[in-house]
Amino acid sequence: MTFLKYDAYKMQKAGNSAEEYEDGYSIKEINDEEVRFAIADGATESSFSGIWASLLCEGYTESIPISQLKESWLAKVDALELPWYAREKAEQGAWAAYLGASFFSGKSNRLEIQAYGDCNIFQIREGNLLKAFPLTRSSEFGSTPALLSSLDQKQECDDDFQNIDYHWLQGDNFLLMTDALAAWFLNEIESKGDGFNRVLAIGNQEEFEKLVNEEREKRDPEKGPRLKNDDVTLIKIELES
Amino acid sequence: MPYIAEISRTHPSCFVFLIDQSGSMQDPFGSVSGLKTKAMGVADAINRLLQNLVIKCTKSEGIRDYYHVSVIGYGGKGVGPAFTGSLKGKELVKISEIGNNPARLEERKRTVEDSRGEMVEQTFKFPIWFEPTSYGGTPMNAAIQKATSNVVNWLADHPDCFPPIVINISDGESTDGDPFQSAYDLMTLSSSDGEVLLFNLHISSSNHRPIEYPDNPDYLPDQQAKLLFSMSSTLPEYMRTMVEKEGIPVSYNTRGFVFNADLVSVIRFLDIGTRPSNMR
Repeated sequence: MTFLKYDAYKMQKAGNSAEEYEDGYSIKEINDEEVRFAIADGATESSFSGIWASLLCEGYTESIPISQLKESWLAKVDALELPWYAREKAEQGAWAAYLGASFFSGKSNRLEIQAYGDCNIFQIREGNLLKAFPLTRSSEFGSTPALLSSLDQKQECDDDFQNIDYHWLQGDNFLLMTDALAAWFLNEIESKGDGFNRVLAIGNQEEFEKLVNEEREKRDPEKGPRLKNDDVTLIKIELES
Repeated sequence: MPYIAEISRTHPSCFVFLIDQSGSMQDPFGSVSGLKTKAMGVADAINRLLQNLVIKCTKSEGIRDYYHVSVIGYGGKGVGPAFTGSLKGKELVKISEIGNNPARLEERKRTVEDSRGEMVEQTFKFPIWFEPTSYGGTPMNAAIQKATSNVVNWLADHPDCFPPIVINISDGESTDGDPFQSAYDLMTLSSSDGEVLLFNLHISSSNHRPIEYPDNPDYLPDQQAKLLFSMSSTLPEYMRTMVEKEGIPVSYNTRGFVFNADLVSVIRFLDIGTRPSNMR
């Protein structure tokens, strides 16, 4: 693959083990002219949401219909021997937000994006934020985002799916982020903090973890930590110039 | 002090439920005889609440101890822990211990919509931790003091926690003195994240409409209602938002108090009062 470079970084909530990470991501080079990326954020309030987040990401990059992903989730959870409370919880389903992006090379330089909920993509050109999708302001991130259920087959045609096409230029950078990181990132841009440049400068997992840990420690007295203690996932994409 | 502290296994919070077990609790909910007694209705609501709390704290690997819970009964037999089964006599219990130790599991049936949108009957297990009891007087004052002593101990160990929430469920007047001062002492305890929240749920033998989440005592019908209003905390912002979403008007003075509650408002109140704001 020659038309882009990418890296992915992830980190679980502070106080949790790595196995308790409930975001997901998937990257697939389809052919020389198409690369697909997906990130998902499994809801803390549901159980087995990490499995659901991973399925949604694989489903996007592998072109598997969501109805089939729901069946896979159910089959995995049904096969488990669970105590009464875990069975009850599983019967409520898992919930997740996700975002998928397919980059095409060739003459079109096209980019197809599909989002459900508050995972976000950012397009950066010549060191400036050009576009943010689907959310554009930090204040839009709330505690009740649209979430895709692992159970309800009727939900598939829901209006909450958002699709958009972009075009990219050589030298553009794209960032895919799950909600807590995306909200923090937009807030850094709005308040002219140094977060924007710090994210662009991340070159390895250690640097990513250092930034996340530092920002979780910074606190606003009325709102709590600047970067909410949540699972965080970042995919950085650079269109080669 | 904004009620924004994280609720997690390393920073758990606590709930205390005070349950009136006096003689009048054997009267039926509402004025019609032959229905479920108030004691039975409250026991069902508390068992359902404990079940919901356990399920809220359940993740793929098991129950996470986001909460410690105390259920205290007060009535003719005095004031004390009200769990039955293997938790009998325990004051403050981790939510995982509650989930793993119901006194028994009843098989119940419910109708649910399946993944294809068809209605099907489903058997489920309904856990029981708490049984209906009704006998003697209403030592509310001593019950609130008991809650205070549990909460003081909790705060000493968890000074930065999301503030403990105490919910008092009663159908009558205190028979061991005016509880206002005891309630005030409890409501003015605090963690670094805010004052302890005390909410009151007054349940009714009459068919009068419930007065839910009032913000002004002048419109309350009697002294007992005014007293309970004065010993109920104002709702923090995140709870005001939840109440508003239920279609109930709120203001900055709205208190966590329901007067003349029926079974529907009991369940709704317990749900709002125990819905987590910031679980991680």
